[in-house]
Amino acid sequence: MKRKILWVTSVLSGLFVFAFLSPVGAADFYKDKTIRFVVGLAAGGGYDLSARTIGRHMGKHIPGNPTIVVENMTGAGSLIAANYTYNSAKPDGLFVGIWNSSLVLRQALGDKAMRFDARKFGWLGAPTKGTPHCSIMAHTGLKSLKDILVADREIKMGSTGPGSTYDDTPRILNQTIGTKFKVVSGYEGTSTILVAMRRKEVDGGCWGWESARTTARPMLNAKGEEKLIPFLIHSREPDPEVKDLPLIPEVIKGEDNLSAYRTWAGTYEFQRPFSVPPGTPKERLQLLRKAFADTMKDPGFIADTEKSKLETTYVSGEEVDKYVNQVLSITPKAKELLDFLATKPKK
Amino acid sequence: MEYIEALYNALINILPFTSQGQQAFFFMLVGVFIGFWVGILPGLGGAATLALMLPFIYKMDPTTAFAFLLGANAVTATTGDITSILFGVPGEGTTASTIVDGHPMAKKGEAGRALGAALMSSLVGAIFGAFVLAAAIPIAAPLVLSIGSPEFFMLAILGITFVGSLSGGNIVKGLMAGGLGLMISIIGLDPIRGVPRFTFEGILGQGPSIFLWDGIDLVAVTIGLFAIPEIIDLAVKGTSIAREQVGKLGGVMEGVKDTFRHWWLVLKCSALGAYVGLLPGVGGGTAQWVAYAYAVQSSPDKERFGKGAVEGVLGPGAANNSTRGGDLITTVAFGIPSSVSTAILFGAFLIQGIVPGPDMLNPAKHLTLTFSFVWIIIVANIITVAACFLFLNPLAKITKIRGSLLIPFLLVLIYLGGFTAKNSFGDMIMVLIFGALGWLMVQFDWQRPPLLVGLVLGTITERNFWISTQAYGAAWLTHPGVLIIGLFIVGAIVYSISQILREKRKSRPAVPEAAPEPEIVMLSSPIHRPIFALFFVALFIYVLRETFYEIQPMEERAALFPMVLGIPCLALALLAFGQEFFYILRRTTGRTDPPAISSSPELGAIRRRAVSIVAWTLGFFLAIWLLGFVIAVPVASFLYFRFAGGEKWPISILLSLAAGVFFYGLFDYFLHLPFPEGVVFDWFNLFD
Repeated sequence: MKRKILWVTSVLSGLFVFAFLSPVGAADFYKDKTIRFVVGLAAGGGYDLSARTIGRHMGKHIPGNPTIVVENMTGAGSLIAANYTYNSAKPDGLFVGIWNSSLVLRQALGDKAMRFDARKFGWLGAPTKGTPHCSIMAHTGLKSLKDILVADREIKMGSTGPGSTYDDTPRILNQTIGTKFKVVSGYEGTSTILVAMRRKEVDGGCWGWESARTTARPMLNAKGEEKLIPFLIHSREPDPEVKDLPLIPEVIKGEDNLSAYRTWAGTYEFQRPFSVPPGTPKERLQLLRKAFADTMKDPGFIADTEKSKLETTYVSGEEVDKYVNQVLSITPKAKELLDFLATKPKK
Repeated sequence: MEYIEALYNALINILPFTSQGQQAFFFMLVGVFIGFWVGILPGLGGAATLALMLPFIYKMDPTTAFAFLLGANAVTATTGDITSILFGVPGEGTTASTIVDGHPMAKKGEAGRALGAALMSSLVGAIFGAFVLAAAIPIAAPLVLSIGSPEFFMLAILGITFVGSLSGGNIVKGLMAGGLGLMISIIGLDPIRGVPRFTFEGILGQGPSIFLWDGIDLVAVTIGLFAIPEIIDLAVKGTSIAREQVGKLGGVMEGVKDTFRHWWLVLKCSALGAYVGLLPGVGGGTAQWVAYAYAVQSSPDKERFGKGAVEGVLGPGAANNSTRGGDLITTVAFGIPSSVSTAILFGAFLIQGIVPGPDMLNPAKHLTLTFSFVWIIIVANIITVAACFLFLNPLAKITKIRGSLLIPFLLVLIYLGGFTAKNSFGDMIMVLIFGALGWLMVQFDWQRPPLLVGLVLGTITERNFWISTQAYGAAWLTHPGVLIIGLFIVGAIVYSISQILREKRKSRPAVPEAAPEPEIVMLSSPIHRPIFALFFVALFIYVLRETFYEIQPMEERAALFPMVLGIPCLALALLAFGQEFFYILRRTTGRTDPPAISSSPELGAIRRRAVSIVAWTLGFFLAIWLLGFVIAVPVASFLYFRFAGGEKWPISILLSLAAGVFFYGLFDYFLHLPFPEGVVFDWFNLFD
């Protein structure tokens, strides 16, 4: 009897010692574990979709093949998820936060609600870039930037709310190239703004070309008054509608204006980025970075994105680091110029 | 002709006669099975589940994918009614309205009848909505394009006025409750410049303040307002949910017959639901209450409502299903979803690479797919209702189980429902806060439905108000659509006032000053009623003051809506206070008979039980916070069974273990809900 007890105790304590002392390398670490992808925006949208598509494939590129679950932690345009990732999530390599890169600009502009230092996140990379563009409805009779600059009427641009491409772009253009856009904000999303354009409540809008080329496709192809005409874009894109358009950085006048614009546009170089909390072990971050990169090349992943027409451009974690630094080393002059974009803090 | 052909092909595509159809049919059955449980369990929202189902559709063809998702989505409103009726806990946000009369029916022992009525009217509503979807497809685009932001704003106000003034009870209190709902929707970042409003950063600190940025969650408010008062009521009565035994009359078939007895009401409410669904961004959350108000109005005997009138079940039952068809129209034609669930369906469009818009209505492109939605809604609901009928009678027997055995489950479910809204603790606190408010509102005869409608429509109202003003200046006030809807609003108020006057002239002995009295009045001192009204006066004064001194200087635009809204709200609150004051004055001077207050010796026992259930409700919250859901569920349930319910040891242990295993298995192991660990473990660093 006594021997049996002794035997059981020694086996149990042996197991204990093994469990706690055995050197668990990052490679074995992920075996039978679950990684949480926490998306800061609602289920069903573009952010969510890209996180879920990556989540479906990334597990098999991590040694130990962990399970990946995708959750939504919505609120304040993904700020809640960003703050959570930085301050509350465990830095154990099992938590990945996915939130809007424009929050990095808000940090650069000194917004106190950003309770993080974007330099300290571990960045896995980003699955896409953003290319802001502006379009106008044919019913206005205006067809190009030139028409718009000389038009003697108010041009109403639909917007969701502050901090969005819809809101920021026309305001920056007003400041830097002298357009006279009136931003009509309060719409729920791209679809509602497109409907508002069709019923002539607003005249146009500025948002990502990646979204416009698919969601606004019927309107881009339409004839007559219902046609949507792109007139300005951030960078050269191959689609026939935009390939000859003037580029925003080329029409902006003045060195300071251009530098301010470039800072603002910096966050568009890494859209929907994947981040881990500060302090996540280096070797796990490296594993995840590599897995992220491998996923982007995975044929299964590529097939999924082609089916969903999900635009992907792989931006590596190192590149994200670089862009984050670029946005955060904002010049005082640019900060002053962009100050009107920041939400005023409560005193 | 092309349309008929597409309609026919769409049906064949989802019926198990071809290999394509078999696949779609099979996955629809899986979807229906999931949706069935999602509807029944309050802790599982339709949206959260659809999100979990999304990854499975990558490999499916579009028809199968939508059979799977839409099958689940189409039946939640049907089975959600079951929970609302049986427990008074909304199974889904869109089925809260069936509580108002359905749950009293269950208390009267008529659970079977209420369930039969809810299911049958749901089926009628679903089929009606599906046909509206089919019929409206060719004309959807011009219909939706004809509603601009100004008209939309007016329609939202009309909805709130309609529910506030016509859903029974006191019209001043009803309208003010609607205003309060709008006010609650103001909490958070304003949709125009992102200024935080009423987030109490100074009081709460930055963390909770940021939680409030996103506004108050509808699910948490609905659960709090409706479920908590019912749980308190159940505990105080100390009985089972059904308090009386009714023989055959309480049976399921009786409810089915009711549907056909009130055939026109069911059809009209289906039509209302479909129309409300057609408005972009508005869905079942509003349709159910508009239908309820309509059911009350169309009945000659309004006093029965809120006490178990079957019409109060039939109307919303039909509307919250027919609205799904209408919802889909805007999603399909414009990609504008009207609820979180439809937003996720929209995500399914994205995954399948289908762009909502004209292609969906084009016979050469996706029209057959669009029409298959119609058939999926119909077939899924027929299957669900048929399956439900098989075990409705046993289900109805749940209402005969001792309350003490049900309460822990209900408490767990309401907190879970709050938590899953945003996977955060804050919403569980919201459940408690709105539970307290809901209970007080029941005690003092304030209507809760207008508050919910106000909250549902709040953001949309403000957005459209602001867009109208920016896009048209003041000129939108003279748009013909705006003027016509304005007339309807005035009409609704005048109509309900004239009705009150007419009933007064008939000189009935007791004019219903307010909604039906709660069964047990616990706060019986006459002074409490005006004090509660005074609380709203103070609240609105505070809101106006804050708006004027704090928000206005920061951002004028963010202050506009609370300002425009606050003034009529304050006026209504003052009126309500006056009413309550004179009501009490008349009562104490003996001109009206004092209502029968339970002044029996039981009152002491009732008070004790009330205090005890409140303590347990808070205790469950505390346990979840300290120990985390997974451990707290069996532990707290056990303590309740043993010490509050006085159950025997074996039963207590067995039931609480079962609860724990079920909870862990379904929500943690299977669904991976991100439950936080208890803070106790953080304190002692037990793990890690």
